[in-house]
Amino acid sequence: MNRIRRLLLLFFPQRRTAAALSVTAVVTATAATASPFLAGFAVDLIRDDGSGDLSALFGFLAVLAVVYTVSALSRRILSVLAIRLSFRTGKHLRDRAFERLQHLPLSFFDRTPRGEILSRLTNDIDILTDGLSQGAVQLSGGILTLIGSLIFMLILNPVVALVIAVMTPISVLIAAFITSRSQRQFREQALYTGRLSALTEEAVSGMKTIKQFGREEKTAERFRNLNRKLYFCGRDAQFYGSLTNPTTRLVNNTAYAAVAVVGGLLALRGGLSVGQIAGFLTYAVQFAKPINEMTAVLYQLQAAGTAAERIFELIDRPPQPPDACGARRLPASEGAVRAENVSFAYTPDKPLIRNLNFSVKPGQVTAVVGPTGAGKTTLINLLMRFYEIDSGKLSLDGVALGGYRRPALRSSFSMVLQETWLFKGTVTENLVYGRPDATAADAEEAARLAGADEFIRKLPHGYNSLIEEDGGNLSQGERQILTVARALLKPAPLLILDEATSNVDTRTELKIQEAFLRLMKNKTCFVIAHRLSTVRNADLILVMDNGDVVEQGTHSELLAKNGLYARLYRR
Amino acid sequence: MLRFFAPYKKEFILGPLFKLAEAVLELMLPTVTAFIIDRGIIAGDRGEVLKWGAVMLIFAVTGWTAAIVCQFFASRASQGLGTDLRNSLFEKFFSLSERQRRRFGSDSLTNRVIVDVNQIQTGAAMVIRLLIRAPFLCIGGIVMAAILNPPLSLLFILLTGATAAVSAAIFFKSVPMSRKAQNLLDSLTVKLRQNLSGVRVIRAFTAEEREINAFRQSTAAHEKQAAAAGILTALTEPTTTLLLNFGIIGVIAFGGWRVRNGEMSRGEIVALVNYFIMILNAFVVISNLAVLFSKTAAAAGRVKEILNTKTEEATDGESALPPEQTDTPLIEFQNVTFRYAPGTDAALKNVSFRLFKGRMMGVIGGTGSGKTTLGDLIQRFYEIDEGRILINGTDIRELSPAVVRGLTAAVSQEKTLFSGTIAENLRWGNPNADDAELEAALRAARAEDFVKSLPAGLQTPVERGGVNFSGGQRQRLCLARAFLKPAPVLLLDDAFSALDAETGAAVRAGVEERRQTQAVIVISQRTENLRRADFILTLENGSVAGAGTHESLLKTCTVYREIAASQGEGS
Repeated sequence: MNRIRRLLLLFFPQRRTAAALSVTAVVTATAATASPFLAGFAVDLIRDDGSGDLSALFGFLAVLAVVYTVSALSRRILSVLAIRLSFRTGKHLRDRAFERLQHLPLSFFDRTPRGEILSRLTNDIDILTDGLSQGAVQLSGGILTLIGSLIFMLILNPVVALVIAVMTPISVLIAAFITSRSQRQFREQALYTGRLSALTEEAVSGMKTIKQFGREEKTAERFRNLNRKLYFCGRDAQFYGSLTNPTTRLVNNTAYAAVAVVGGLLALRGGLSVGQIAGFLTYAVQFAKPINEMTAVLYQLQAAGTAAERIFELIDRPPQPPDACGARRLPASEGAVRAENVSFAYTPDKPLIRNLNFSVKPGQVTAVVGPTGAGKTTLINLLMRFYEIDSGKLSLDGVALGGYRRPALRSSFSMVLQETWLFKGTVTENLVYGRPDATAADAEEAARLAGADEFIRKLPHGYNSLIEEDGGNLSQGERQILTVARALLKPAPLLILDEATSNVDTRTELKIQEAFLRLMKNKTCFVIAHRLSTVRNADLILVMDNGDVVEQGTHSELLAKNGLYARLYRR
Repeated sequence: MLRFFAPYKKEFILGPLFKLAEAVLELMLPTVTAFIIDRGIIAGDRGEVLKWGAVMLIFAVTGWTAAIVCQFFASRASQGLGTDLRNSLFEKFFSLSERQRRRFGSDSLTNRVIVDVNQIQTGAAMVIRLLIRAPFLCIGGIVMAAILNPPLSLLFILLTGATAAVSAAIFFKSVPMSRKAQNLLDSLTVKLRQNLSGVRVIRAFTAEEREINAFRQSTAAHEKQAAAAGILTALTEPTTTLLLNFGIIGVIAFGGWRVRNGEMSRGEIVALVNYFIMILNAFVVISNLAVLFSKTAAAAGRVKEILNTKTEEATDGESALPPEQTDTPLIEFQNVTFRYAPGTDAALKNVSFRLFKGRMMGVIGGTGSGKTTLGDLIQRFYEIDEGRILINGTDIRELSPAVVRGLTAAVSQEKTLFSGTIAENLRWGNPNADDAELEAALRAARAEDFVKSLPAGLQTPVERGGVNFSGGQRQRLCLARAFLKPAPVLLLDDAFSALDAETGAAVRAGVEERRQTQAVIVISQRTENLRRADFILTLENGSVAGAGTHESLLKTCTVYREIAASQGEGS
């Protein structure tokens, strides 16, 4: 019930449209159900003996023309309103969900698969709005048509009305019976389709290996076998599924015949006119339609309900706590960082960082080292407040990180991560992302400094070249250098840098290293260090293992300690 | 594409014929109704009413039987056609080159086999079930009207023509609009996906509000376009209904006049009205079909694109390997030049080398230098543009790709495994290997310990793409698989990248030993992996920058020396 209320509330901003929609729905249904009645009445105005008054007939037909026009107009308005309402609601939902995404804590993104979020904002919203606009309109229209038809039929003749009212639900029951029988086949078809899809995907992406080991025939055979199974259950599913239409048609036609015969017999006794029989024949067809469509509509509404649940689950997620009201609005100016008894855990039952203490003066370099999976990015997460510390104090220029507004805190840092994220847009647009007010000249200056100018100029449109979504037109190394240039443009006293340069050959790595060095100048740096020179010259080395900082000190201090660092270093 | 229909000629002819039979019977119903009214009711004959009522019932049951037969043919033909298409597509994939496969992308290729073929199946079924029926009911309705009452049929033709013109105009205008809306939705999805992948960078640059605004613009553009397209498409229904309703008014008005003049019966008027309704319903089906067929045509286009793609893989050549000769190299490149596409820069330029049995060759170079291409050419994944590749003295082009690939046991960068068990995956290398041989190979690849530690050992299931193993484990399993393959050449492309230093060194030592029985090619960008090679080919932008042993290259080859220096070696 709560969910339905939420759904109705969705329409609240468009309540006028929704109200207009309800009115037109009633008008449409009334006009649609009245027309056979009126048309039948018109037929009765015709007399076989030629005595009929034609002017009365034509006058009545004029009324009928007005009814038809009103019916068409209201139907048109109904569909326009429904479409507007549905797309408006869809946009509104997308915007709301997207806005919420921007304010969700990072932990949500780290835990939820990307495809999952994507499908909620795309497919689910489509299913919901389609279901609401089409499903709700059809359902209400269908119910109104049923009631209207029933009323007019009862006015015409209760006996024939009863014939139709009994025959039609029978056709629906038969359809439902067949549908339930074919469900099993459809499930099986879906199962084999899924398996075949998985096999295809695997074979296509592993094609090179298949060829290297001469497994083409074996793989094709596996495919053919599965495909054959899919054929059999697909054929049966389709056959049983397609029985519904002719069968309901059979029942409808039987109803049609029954109306003609019963009506005819009644007419012989003088209880029914020819025009009324004509009207009934139309009702027999019209009455069955909404009932036949009911199954599909209910299914659509059910799907919309499930989609709504998934969307609301996202929209209702608690956002990250807002910044304290007295929090600092200005970024840090010095760049002194201090950790006092900092503790942190991603999940409460698995404590990671315990009692971390360190102090970094402005302009100093802190190297974070440790084996793969030691949790080196955790420190970045804490410094940028992607995650909040559990206890202790982490401060910047003497102010606890929580004492800054998030934008102020994050403006204090430049950041270059291992994942070289660029967006679809021109090179310049990407470069000025961190400083939208920068000029093209600023962008070029930064690119030159990073050593990107040369290859940017070689691109088809220089600084105006489009960067593809997957960055296909740039090499991994070029992307990395672009992110360095982007960071260079942003004036910040602190720097976070992940030195890892995967998928880049060692000579390109040297070039990137030079860019890194320029970026590090005059900044307080936190470097996830992969290079010995960085580590050796660092003012402070934090050695991480299993998520915790296990050692810290300078290079020589740590070597003297002869612990994990010394072991890593000597290997 | 037509050839796929050929095996189902019978179904594609008989199916619509049976459907036609049903439609003919359906078409007779209003005429029979007219008989009931005119011969029964108006003439006051009870027997006639019952007789024609019984005829109606017989028609309904016969029509149902015919429809069921048609559905049977439709499901057999459409599913059979789809199954054949899937088999053909899948087989076609084998003849696509690596480059073609990457250009299409695995997702796109899989979608064509599953989603597009499914769409074609639906389309084909509808061809059988509805393509004949709906237009037949339309035209048949007009013909029956003409038989019943020739002058009135003119009105039918006029109105039906107008309706057809209106719905066609709307359809053709709405197709590009819907496509535009779809494109806007796609670009919205791109924005969303980028936002999700770049969440850390976006927050680091405090760009959330900018992202929200940009997304709002996207959703607004999509809403506008999609609503416009939907509103236009929805115009069809009220317009066609209105036109045909006016037709009904016309029939009654004109008919009333003619009945008075004694030229027509009232039963005929009722029949004509029913024909109009029948035409209207058929029209709705036709406009739905138009949408379905435009989707099917698009799907067929995508399937055809694959089927008609000119294969880049060679299919010809001798099916036996030429015998080894002691003084002839196992593999020889003579001035080989290769371009991925005509007019582009050569991926390999003028490369020559000779590899003898019992020798180990190293290939080194930066990313994009042509290392992997060289390995691919040895396996005849591509045809070279200039020069010659000789296998045991025979030109590679005279040997079938299967034979050429039998020559090498390869490990490629991708570390591809397939769903099945570990043992099944290993036996790709040698289907006849017993468990002891598998274990020996695992030992050589330093994978024995971790496989033994798994509860099911060799029978441990491998999930799709090997996702249940780490990169290092996958690489070791791939190595073991290659070790098992009894081939004269062992080809390792970047095959130690995911191994830790210690494991890497151990596996490498084993590989070096394999020189006793095989020729070995090691492709790597690290000099440490090649130090003991008999000669090393140094590639730079596709050309050989130097060839020789590690020591000699350090002295003579600048590129090699730079590479070595960037890895902290040499100088």
